[in-house]
Amino acid sequence: MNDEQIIELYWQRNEKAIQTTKTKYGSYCRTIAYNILGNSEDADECVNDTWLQAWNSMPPQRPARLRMFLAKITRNLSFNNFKAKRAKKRGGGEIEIVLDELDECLADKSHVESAYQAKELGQSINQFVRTLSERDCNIFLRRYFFTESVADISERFRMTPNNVMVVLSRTRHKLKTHLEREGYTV
Amino acid sequence: MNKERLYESFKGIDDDILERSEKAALKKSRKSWVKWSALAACLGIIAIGIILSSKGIISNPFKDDSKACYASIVYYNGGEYGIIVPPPDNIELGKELGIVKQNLIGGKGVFVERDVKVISSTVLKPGDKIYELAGYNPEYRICGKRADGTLVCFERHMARGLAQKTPAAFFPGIPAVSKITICDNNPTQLGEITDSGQIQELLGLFTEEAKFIDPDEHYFMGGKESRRLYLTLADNSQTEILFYDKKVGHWMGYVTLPDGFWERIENCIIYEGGEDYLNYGALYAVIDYANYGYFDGYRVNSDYAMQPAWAVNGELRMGWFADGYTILAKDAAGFVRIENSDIWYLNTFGDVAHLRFWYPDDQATLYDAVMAGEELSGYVTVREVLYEGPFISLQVRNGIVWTLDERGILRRDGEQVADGVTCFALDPGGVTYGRKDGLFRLKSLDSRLIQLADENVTAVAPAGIKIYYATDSGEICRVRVDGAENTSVYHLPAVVMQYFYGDRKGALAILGSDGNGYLLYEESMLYLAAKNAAGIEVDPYGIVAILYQDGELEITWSSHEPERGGLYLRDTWLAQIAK
Repeated sequence: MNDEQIIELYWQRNEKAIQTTKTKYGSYCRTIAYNILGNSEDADECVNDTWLQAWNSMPPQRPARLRMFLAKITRNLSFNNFKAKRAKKRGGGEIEIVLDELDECLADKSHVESAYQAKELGQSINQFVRTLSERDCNIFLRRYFFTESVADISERFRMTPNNVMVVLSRTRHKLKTHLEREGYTV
Repeated sequence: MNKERLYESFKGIDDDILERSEKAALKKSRKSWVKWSALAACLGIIAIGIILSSKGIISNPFKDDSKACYASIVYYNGGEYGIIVPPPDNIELGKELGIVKQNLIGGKGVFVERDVKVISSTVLKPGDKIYELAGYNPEYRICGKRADGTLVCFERHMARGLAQKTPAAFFPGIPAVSKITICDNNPTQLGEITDSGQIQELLGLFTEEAKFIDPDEHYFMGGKESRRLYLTLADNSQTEILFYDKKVGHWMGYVTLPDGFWERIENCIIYEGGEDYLNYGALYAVIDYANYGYFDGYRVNSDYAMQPAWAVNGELRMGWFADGYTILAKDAAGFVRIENSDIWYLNTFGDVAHLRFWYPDDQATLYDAVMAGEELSGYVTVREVLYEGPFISLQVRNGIVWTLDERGILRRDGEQVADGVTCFALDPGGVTYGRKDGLFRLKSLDSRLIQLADENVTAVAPAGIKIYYATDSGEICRVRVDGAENTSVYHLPAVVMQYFYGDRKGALAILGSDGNGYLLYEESMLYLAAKNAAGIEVDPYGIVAILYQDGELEITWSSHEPERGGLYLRDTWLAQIAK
C-alpha cells in the first residue's frame, strides 16, 4: 500500500491505518527512537505514542511525505521522553553526545527565546542546511536529526569515522557562524 | 537558547532534505551492505562507476535533476536498467522498442507503486520512447528518448530469469573493449590492461564460462578479495564487472566466476595498497581509523579515548585544539603519529620518542577531565626513546618506524634502507623516496626496488597507483608506480607535498620553496592558502594544519567549491591563482 493510500485510511478514520503504518514504518520509527533513548522499552513506548499522535494528526494534516512526518513525531516524542528521564537520571542513547556536539554551536550568551523565535530558529536551521553541499548536509542530518551514531553514519556513507567527524565538526562551525550572523547567539 | 532547544529546532527542516539523506548512500553504488534484490525492489539501484582522477571523472548524473534523490531506472521487458554514466559517444538508435507508460515519481515526489505490465521509469516520462542502442543487445543496453529529443542510455543490472546462461549472450563484442581498469572496492586503481590479446583472452574466458545465478542468495560484503573491473568500450562508455570474491561476481546480474579468472586479474595488478587515509601528520596527528580497525580490529576500550595530538613550544599536547588539551610530554619537536594508543614523535634532540596513553574511560570522560585541567600524564604507561637521532623526518605505519637523518640515511626500524635520500613518503604498498639521481619505490610485498624517474627530487607525495614528485627545476610531475606515464603537470618549486582526495578528483597540498602554502586541485587549479608557512597538512578533504615561520600553529579547514567561489578557507572565498 502506498503512502497516499495509507493517509487516506486515516482520513476515513479506518483503524487499518494504524496497523498498516505499523507494518510499514514500525522498524523505521523504532530505530529513530532507539538512537535517542538507548533502550528498547522506552523506544517501544515512544513508537506506540507515535501511532496515536499520527491518528490524532490526520486529519487535518495530509503530509506530502508520510515517512518524514512519522520520523518527526517519533523524534519529538523520544526527545521529550529523554528529557523527562534525564531528570530522573535514567538511560540515554547517542543523544547526550549529540547534544554536547550541538553545544559547540552556541556561544556563551544566547538570546532568550520566545515561542515565535523558536519557530524562526527552525526556519533558520532549514535555510542553513540548504547552503550545505549534499554530502555534508546528508551527514549533518543523519547525526543531528536522526541521531545516528558516527559508526552508523560512516557505514552508511562508506567513510571512515574520522572523516565523518571532521565533516560534522566543520559543519557545526558553519552553523555557529550562521547562528551568530542571524542574531540567535552573540 | 540551549542545546536542547537547538536540537528540537531541527524539526523545522523540510521533508525533502531529510528524505534525501536517507536515499543518498543507497543510490551511490553496488557496494551496498543490504541484500541486493530487496533494495532494488524498494528503490532501484543505480550503477555508477566512480573512478579516481587518474581515470577521468564520471560526472554526477543527478546534478541537473531536481528529483535527484531517486535512482535513474527504467523497467523494460522484465528487466531493470540503470543509467549509463558517462553516456556513450555518438549514440545511434536502433528500432523502437516501446513507449514509457508510467513515471515512478509521484506528483509530490513520492515513489509510486510500479505497474509491472508497462514500461516505467524514474527519469523518463509517459510518452518518451525506448529504442535499441546500436551495437548492443537490447537485453543488455537500451536508450530512452525524451520529448525534447535528449537521449539517455541504460544498462541492465538485474538478470532475473537468466540463470544458467552465460554473459556471452549479451556481452558487447570483445574487440570493442580497449581497456580494463582494475580497482579494489574503494575504488582505488590497482592496475590496467590495454593489450588487446590479453583482453581477448580474459573476456573470452569470462563471457563463455561465467554463469548467471539466482539473484536472491548473495550479499556483497566488500572484502579483501573484491575487485571492480571497468571495461572501456569503443564508444567510450564503461561497463563494470564486480568481483564479490574469487567465486562470485556481478555483471548484469550475479555470476559465478570462471576458475582462475580472479587469479589472472590479480597478476595484472601493479599497486597493492588501498588509498586509505594515511595521516602522517607532522603537524597535527589524528587517530588513523584506517588502521584502527573500527569494525574488526583492535580496540582498547568500548569507546575510543585518543584525541588528536600536536607539538607546540616543546609540549606534546593532546585534546581539542580550540577548547583544551592535556600535556603528555615536554620534549616534543613535531612529526607526531598516532596508532591505537601509541604516539611517536621527534623530540627536541631529534630522537624518536614513543609513549602509550592508556585511558580507562570513554571519550566523554576524557573530555571532562581535560577541561577540568586534570593531570593525565599518569595514564602514560610507556615512555621511551626508541632511536637516538638526530633525525629530520619520522613516519610510522603499523608500528614500523621510518626515519631520515641529515646525512640522507633512510632507516626502517633502525636498519638502513637507502642513502642519499632527500625526502620520503609511505603508502600502503611501500615507501617512495627521492634522491639527487631520481625517484625510487621499494615495494613492501616483495622488497623490489624500482626507479621511477631520474630527476633531482625534492618532494614526494604518493597518490595510490600514481606518485607525485617535485624536482629541483621547479616541476611537479606525476608517474605511475611501475614507472610508466611520467609527465610534468605543473610548474611550482616545492619542498613538501601531500596528496589528498579532494572529493576524489585529486589534489595536492604544497609547501613552496617561496615559503607559501598552496593547494593544487586537479593539476590545474592553484590557490594560495598561507603566506610565510613552514608546513601545511591536509586530510582527505582539505587543510588541517598550517605551521607558520614564526612558530604559530593554525588548525583550520578548507573546502573546494569552484562553482561557488573557489576555495573556502577562514570564512572567505579564495580565487584561483592564474597559471
